[in-house]
Amino acid sequence: MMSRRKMSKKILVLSIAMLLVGALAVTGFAQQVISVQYGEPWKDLFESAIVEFEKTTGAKVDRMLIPYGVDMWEKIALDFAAGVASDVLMVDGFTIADCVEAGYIHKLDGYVKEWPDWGQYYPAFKAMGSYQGHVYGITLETSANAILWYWKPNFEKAGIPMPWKPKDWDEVLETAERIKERLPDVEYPLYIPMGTKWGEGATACGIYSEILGADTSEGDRNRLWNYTTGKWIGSSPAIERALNFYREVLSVRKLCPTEAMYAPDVWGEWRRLMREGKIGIGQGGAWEWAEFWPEAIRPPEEQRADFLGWAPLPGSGDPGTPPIQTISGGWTVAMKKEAKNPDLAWEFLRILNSKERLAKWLALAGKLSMRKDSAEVPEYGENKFLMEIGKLLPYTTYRDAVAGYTTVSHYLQQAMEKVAVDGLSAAEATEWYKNKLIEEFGKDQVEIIR
Amino acid sequence: MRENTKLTVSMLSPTLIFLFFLLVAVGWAIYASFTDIMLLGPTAKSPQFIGLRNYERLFKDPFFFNSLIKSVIYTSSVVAGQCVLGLFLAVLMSQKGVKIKSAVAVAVTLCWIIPDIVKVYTWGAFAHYEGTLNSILRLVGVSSVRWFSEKPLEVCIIGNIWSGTAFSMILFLSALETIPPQIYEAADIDGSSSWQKFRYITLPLAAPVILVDLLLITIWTFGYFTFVFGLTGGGPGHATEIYPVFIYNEAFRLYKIGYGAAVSFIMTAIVGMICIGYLILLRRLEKV
Repeated sequence: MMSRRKMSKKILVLSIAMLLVGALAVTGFAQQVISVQYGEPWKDLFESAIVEFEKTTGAKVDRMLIPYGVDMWEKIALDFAAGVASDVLMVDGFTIADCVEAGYIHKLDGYVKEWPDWGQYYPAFKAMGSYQGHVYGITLETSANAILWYWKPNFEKAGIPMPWKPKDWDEVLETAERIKERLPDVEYPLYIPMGTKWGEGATACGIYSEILGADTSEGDRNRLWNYTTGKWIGSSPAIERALNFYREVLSVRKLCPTEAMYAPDVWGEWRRLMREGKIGIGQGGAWEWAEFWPEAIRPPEEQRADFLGWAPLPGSGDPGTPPIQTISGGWTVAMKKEAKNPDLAWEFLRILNSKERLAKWLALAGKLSMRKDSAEVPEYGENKFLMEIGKLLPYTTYRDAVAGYTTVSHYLQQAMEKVAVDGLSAAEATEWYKNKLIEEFGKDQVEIIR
Repeated sequence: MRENTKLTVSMLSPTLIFLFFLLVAVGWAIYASFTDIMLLGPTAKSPQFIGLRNYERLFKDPFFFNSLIKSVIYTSSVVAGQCVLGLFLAVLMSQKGVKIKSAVAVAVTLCWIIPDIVKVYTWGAFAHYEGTLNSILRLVGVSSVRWFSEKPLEVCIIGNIWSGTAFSMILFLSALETIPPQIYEAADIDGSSSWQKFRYITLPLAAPVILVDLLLITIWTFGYFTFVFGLTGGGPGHATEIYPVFIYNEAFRLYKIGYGAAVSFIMTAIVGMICIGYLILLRRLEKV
């Protein structure tokens, strides 16, 4: 019989051997693992890509899902700062520049050069994921903002002819006044997103749309950043006119009570108000065609058109202003700068962004495609709404892909609150905004357009 | 002796590990408060040492003073409300023959134990323009109020009192149970009224516990972020931008981690001073 001592020795040797084998296996395996982080709204798209990726490459994906209700961008930014971000992750288009400056994301120039599908992307969306001429993110989805949604039953009751296509801001305001006068139960005759609780939504889905159509579109007069001079625009007729439009709607004509701008869930509240017919006209993005209703109660597409109409937001109507304008945003998918296996991570990006997968998912989610060839996929090409709203894409532009944009956007949200809540005139709020930019970036980095 | 040392070390080790992580985090935050570090952008990668500039900027920032004023109003109202209501409920609970006390205790405690974010949505729905509060008001002939735009800070204060009173109630209840019933019996024989018993027996004997309650609620309320942020995000404008929301906006909305760290240290100092004040009062009370 084996002595207890010998037995212990054998167990010890065996344990060490097993640990070594395990460690070797893990080390070998680690080279074939990538981590991927994505938000719950994109779950179907990512998970189908993960299945294909694992099947074709034999590698494993360590997945990290960010659930609904979590501020996704904040989580990703903190993960970056803490050095625990995933290899592949989503980066909101407007933060690409800031992420590049922070050294967080990987350049994709070499990969897209070899990728035939890259030629199918519209230039505006190639630019959305780029910074200083280099590609850092592949735009995953987009939409057209500056859409005026209107609730058809309210228009019918107020006797407003449909389809409604306003020519200028005055016509928008007059229509909203008419709804207010004839339908006192409609709490929000004209809903426009505003303020810091809306966050970037108040800029991207809100005031930037007005700014783009406020003045003559010569040069960058209708923007926040002047690409020619390389400076932030602290004050301009476009910014002041846009703020004045907000003042008219929220403070002077009282067409939009500010309460909904500070609800616990501003996005959820705006969608609820719309689908319950408590809004006459509401400014938002095209993707909301599907998202006004939670999935469980979402009516089929053909029925939605019985309730919901849309029109592009017109320009201000002042001489020389554009007749319509729109601005697109969207999330990009990018690679962390320190990704352990960039080639494998790129392989995942390539599979994720394939023509068929993307087009089918976009059609289902009611979002616009950045690729010219999506229309060839029947699910997308036969979607009447997407094909119609896609006609706005030639007019679209994107947010200023410049480091510091997020800060500028925050001050603009505060300037909106100055006219809507604090009772300042548009000129005073513009002055306040200009001073904040000077304080932030210095006088030589901010210009005034007259 | 050796056994004792081993035991001491093993018992101390969790504390030492905790202290280590705490000090590393605090040390990093102190360093950050003297730099221009941001969450994004070029200074995320290579922050510069800027000395006291963050602190100088702070004392010139009108939003800092706004948040301080808002926090003082918010904290003092919540602390007073929770303490008075908690004491009232504790006295009610300690009375014999009050039939609804179990129901009240369950209702008050439930408001306290539900998760913060559920509190936010529950209170948000209650005070919504189309919510229960306005329905009740309409029943008694008062027209609906847009609470979140017209009385935002008041909504946050009352909501916090509603959700947090249970703590004071439980604390006071346990304090009341330590008061010997013979004192009340003697007072009854002397013909004291209920108010006199409360004023001259309950209040002085429960005073140290009241002070501890005030101390704890003040610390929690001054730094309590979730409720107000979830309810209003600090708006409309800056109407409910209390101190922790201001820190959040600076550090995570404007990505100024360095500035946010400086603001946080000032908050720590303020709360520290309040605590010292309470502790001095408590010492004096104990000597009496």
